[in-house]
Amino acid sequence: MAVEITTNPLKVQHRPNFFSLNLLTTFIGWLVMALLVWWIVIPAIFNGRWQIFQEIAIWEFLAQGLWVTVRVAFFAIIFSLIFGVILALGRLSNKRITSFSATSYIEITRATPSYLIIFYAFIGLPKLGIKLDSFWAAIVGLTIYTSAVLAEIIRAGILSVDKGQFEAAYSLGLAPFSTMSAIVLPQALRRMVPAIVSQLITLIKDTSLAYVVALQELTSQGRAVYQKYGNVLETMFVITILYFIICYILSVISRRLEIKESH
Amino acid sequence: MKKLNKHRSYSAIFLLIAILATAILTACDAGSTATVAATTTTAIKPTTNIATAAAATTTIPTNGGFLETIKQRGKLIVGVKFDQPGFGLNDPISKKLEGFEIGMAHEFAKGLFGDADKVEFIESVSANRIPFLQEDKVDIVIATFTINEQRKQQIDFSGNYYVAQQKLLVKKGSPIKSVADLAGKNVATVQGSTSEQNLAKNAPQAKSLLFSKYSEAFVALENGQADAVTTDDVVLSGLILTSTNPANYQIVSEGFTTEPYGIGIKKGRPELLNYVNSTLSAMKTDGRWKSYYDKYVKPATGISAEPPK
Amino acid sequence: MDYFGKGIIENLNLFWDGFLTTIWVSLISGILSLTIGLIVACLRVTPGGGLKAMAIVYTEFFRNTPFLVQVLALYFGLPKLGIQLQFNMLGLEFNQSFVVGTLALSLYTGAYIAEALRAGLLVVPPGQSEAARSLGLSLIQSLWYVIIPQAIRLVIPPLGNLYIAMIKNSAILSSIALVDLMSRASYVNNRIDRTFEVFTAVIIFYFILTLPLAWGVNYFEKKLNPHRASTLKLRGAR
Repeated sequence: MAVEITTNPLKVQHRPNFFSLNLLTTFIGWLVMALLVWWIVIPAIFNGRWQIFQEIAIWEFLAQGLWVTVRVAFFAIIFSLIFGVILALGRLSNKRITSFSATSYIEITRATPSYLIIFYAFIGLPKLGIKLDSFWAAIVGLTIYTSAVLAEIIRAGILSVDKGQFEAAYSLGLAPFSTMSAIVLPQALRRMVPAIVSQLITLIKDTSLAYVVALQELTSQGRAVYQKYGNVLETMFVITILYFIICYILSVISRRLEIKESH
Repeated sequence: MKKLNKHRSYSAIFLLIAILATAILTACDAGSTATVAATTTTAIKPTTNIATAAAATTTIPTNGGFLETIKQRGKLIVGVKFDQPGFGLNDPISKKLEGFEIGMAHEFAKGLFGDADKVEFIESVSANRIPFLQEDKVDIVIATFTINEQRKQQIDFSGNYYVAQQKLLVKKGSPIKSVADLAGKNVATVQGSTSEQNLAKNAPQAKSLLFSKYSEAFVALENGQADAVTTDDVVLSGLILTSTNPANYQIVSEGFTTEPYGIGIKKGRPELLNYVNSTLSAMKTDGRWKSYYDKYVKPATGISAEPPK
Repeated sequence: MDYFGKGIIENLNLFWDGFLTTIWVSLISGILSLTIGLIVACLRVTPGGGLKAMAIVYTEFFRNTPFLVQVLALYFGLPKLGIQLQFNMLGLEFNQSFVVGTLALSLYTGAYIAEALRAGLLVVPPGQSEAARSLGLSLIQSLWYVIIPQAIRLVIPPLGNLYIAMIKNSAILSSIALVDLMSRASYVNNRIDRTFEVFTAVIIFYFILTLPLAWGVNYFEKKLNPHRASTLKLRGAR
């Protein structure tokens, strides 16, 4: 049924060539890598202004920012998952009004830069009587954006569940709500785990945009460091590694689940 | 069997998330506002010699209005610059927020609560100072905030506490000697600032590069991406001071605008405005203004000054 | 008379400037990132270690770090290495904000496109490439004539989503002084101070840019065999 996608289609055993493509690509690859190391990595290590990173205080300063980033991301992830499911169900609803309002919310939000939405959450919402500090404004802004994107992913998941399952559940006497929550939704979510996780990684990266609401998260702290010490590349390198560790771990987890799923 | 395993792995992840959730939630509860505030607030030991000099000399009007709200809250929320040497700078190493404007904010808190530490600082970049006031993110803004007619229509200003001039910062040996030389040059400044508007007015031929922070405008100059940085002289001298190689830069002496700095307050709060104005004029006459100025601004600009009337 | 949107109408020429810049950046990045994506996707399916490893490092690095950080590091960092990317061409001046911004956007989007293309290539059943190779086609020929034409069909909807994300990401380039839609919005807002009106206008402008792409994606998704579409596992945009 499902297409086998675990094997590489191009890895075909063929007779050994005198002029091996395999050997060539390996050689070019290592050559380019060596040049990169020679031209960029080695000068960066020896000429870079790394001294300030010997100070514990700098790491504390960055850790403070990282902790804010983690907390903002955590709350935003929880809320976006909840609202994402609600919006997806809303869009699939039979009621015209529900479906129309969910659809227009999703489409407008998805077309807007998340940068703008975070700023709006901070500046615009108070005009509607909702007051938020920069911490919660960042969470709300990220949630508004991510829940719309997740809603689309989840909807695709729901639609990919075989129609026969709905019919079978109904004929067994299950109510529409329990059919959805007990049978369809779990399958839809499971099927979409890689896409959902990839969007959550985007969310974590987008927390860096919260500087527009003056949130002192990791990137802001990094900018404060290079403002003071003028070592843009070195500081950004450190920041990048910190983000990379978080995001990469998540993507590895997601890939594990994906592989398990396809068996 | 396979199915069972899969379920187990999902519930394991679920459990992990649940544990993480409780951990983070409890961490937040424990720190409550402290953890959230710690990121934007930097508590400073009051500069005691100054603070005691004229402790609570101003009388607080009793029919408070919004002033009463602030007092009940127990702290004054002030929007300040975090990247402005001499006026408001957040030092990554000492973790201290320091500067002329920060000192003044402490004085306002002292006058209200008798405690200079009852103040919370929120970073206000140029573009969000007015929205911050209008949306009640902050009570007052002390952030190198130029008084002008356009802004007066949206917010109220106190009397001015400093008069700056907009000037140009260039590399030593630059051909730029005045505003007239800016035609066709890349001039860096900040989005949403008066400097940007003044630049457009005074040197319409210049190519403006708009960044989100002055510090980044300065990096652009350092890199040669910009030929000049323009904004108020105090800001410029602060940028030179914090640069890694101050000897490479100079400020073009001729200024092209005057920028009276005032404290921004939301409209319709006469009691707060009165309080700020009376405290401010007290500070100007009793020497507190001068001691803060000499402590923070003079080392940065090298210019001694008297309080402006 | 004062009505909602008055300030916007009066400053439409300013917005137009930024609108054009956003379009240009998106067009050039669109082409560049597709090129990068194609090359990297091919490198990832080549036999042998070196090039493949590089392709993996590239995609993982750019996909797992924030675009803002990449942009700031490239714009403020490259000159520190003595690299100044700016030039004049056809009487037009391309300053560093434009060149570096476009480059950063292409590198970031390219990493995503490479992954989308690779997913497309892998969906084509392995039997096909084996058949092509046994018919005597070379590796390049079998890729070009057999695998890629099939993969492209599957890859168009995710590609469209990535382009939508790319246009939205271009807003971040306003932080390196690119005079784009976002930057113009802040410029106008600084003069008329109508936060709500200005930002409503920007949302509409971005909507105009992304709408045709969104329609295209919908069209192709409906046209495609739903079963195969679902095996592609709709990657989240961005």
